[in-house]
Amino acid sequence: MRAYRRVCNYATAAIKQEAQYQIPTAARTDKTNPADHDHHDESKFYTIDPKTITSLFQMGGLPKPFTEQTQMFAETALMVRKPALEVIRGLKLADYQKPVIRYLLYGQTGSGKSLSLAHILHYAHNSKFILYHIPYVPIWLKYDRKEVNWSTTKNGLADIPLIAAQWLKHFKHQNEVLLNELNLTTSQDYVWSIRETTPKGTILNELITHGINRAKYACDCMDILLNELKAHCSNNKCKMLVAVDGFNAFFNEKTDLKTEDRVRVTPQQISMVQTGLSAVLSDWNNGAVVMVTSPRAALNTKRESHLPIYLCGRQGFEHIDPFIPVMVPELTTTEFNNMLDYYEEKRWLQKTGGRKELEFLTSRLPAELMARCASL
Amino acid sequence: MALFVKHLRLGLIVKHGFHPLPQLTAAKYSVYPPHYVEPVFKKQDIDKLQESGEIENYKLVPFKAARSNDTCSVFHDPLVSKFINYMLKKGQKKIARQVLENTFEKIKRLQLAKYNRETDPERKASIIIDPVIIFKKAVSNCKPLLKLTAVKRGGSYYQVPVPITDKESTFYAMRWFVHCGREKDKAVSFADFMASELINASNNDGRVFKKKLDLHKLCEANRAYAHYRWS
Repeated sequence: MRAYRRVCNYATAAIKQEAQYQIPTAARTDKTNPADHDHHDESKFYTIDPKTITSLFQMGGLPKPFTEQTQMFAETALMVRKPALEVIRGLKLADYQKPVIRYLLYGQTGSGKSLSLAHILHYAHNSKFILYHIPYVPIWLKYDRKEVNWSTTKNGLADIPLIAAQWLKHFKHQNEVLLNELNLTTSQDYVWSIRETTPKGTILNELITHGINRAKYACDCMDILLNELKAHCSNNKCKMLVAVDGFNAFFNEKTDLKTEDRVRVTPQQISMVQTGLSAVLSDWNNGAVVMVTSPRAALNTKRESHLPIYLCGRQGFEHIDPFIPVMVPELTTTEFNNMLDYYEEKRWLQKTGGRKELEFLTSRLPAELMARCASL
Repeated sequence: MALFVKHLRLGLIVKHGFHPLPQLTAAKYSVYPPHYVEPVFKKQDIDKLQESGEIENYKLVPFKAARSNDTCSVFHDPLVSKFINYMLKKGQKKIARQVLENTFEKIKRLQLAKYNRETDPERKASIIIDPVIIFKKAVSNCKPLLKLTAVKRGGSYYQVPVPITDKESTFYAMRWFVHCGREKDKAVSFADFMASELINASNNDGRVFKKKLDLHKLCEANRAYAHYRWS
């Protein structure tokens, strides 16, 4: 009985101890607009308001574990980190009359590339860029449950109509307000079939809606939309940011997809991939391209290195050359401590000690840290 | 059965030639002789021993080697690692550990949701979120004070209530948790079920806590046989 009481008391004693411990608060910045962020805000958290989150990332763009976490913490806080700041600075200082500059974010799995891209997207959204954002390429190419048809307009290419329609919805959701403001129109007639045409001078929003409603033409619509936007950008009517997450999946050896006649297609044979590849070309100006290569987007036999030339291959590397490589490193010591402070502030991390151990176990990779702290 | 084992052993001895000291004692196997002491595997504990000078007492005492799951990690907890051993199947410890980690994560999620919903600051402070504390509280709440053993009297067996050691009652409680986890509905995952069960048990509620009460009731009903323990 005495032993029983002792164990019971143990729990209450632990609670008392916790009450004495001063729970740290994470360092935050008040600047909610990423355009204002500079090196003083580095390693601090900034919160994105829920409205922006729904307008930007409702249909993908943030990693799933992170989204779950934000729901639990009831706020979306991103850490201001050097790679994102570097790209944002580049976007601010760029000469937009020259061909577009291409940035490539690369780094180990779980080092925060996608969230850096989210930070950049937030900046671009605030400074009135049209976002041509591909949330994650492998979801186009993985899982053979999709309808794949041979394209009627482009010889030898395959369409994934429903996925393309979904992407158009994503594009519309992100840019609807801006497109209405800019009032961009098509520059030529597009004939889809005998009965369906899009005449010259139609608003782009209508073109997109057509693509969504008639999924059969969604892939072509994507391509046409890109060409129109490129032309508009070059004519100084708007600015565009092309963002591709999981870019190296374009150069994978194979996909899971099969057409109706059971032919396995390679990524290069898919029309959406070709559109994506033409989006990152620098044959237009008044915009920028941000790509993310990640080992996880590659096939699981090809994940040994995180370096772009290994992941994209020679062909892919030459396709995007010249580009500005931006390494997304693991967290620095201050960033690491601030991250743990944040977790403790949000009561996600319950153990107060053991920071050195966590540092050793996770090698300061933020995603790994999140997973490690889950059970502590 | 024990006799058979003894004979077998003697047979073996005959086979291998006569041993100078043939082992005829209990069939329990251990690498270590009984005078070997349990290891002190935590660095912090060794430091404490060194500070207090108690380490002198251990100088000439032989130690057992530390077990493979003994670490000096800050997050190591003997009760938790014991529980992992109880719930593992076919020696798949890695999976068992992952499942328990999942359980802890789910406990935290559930408790954090409660914490964020609560507006009264006093009640808010009283909500425990640490899964290990909840786990310990749940186990200690489910530890029985008595157990039943079968005693043969006059040709029939009686279920006799007898006192229980601390170690054994901990084992009972943890085993009940694992058994409840295995009896659950298939649609619910083990981690989900365990999380809610542990939280319930820490509030003196739930299936496992009921099992303890049932055992107590049975002991109470069989109190008339209690004297069979010694007579």
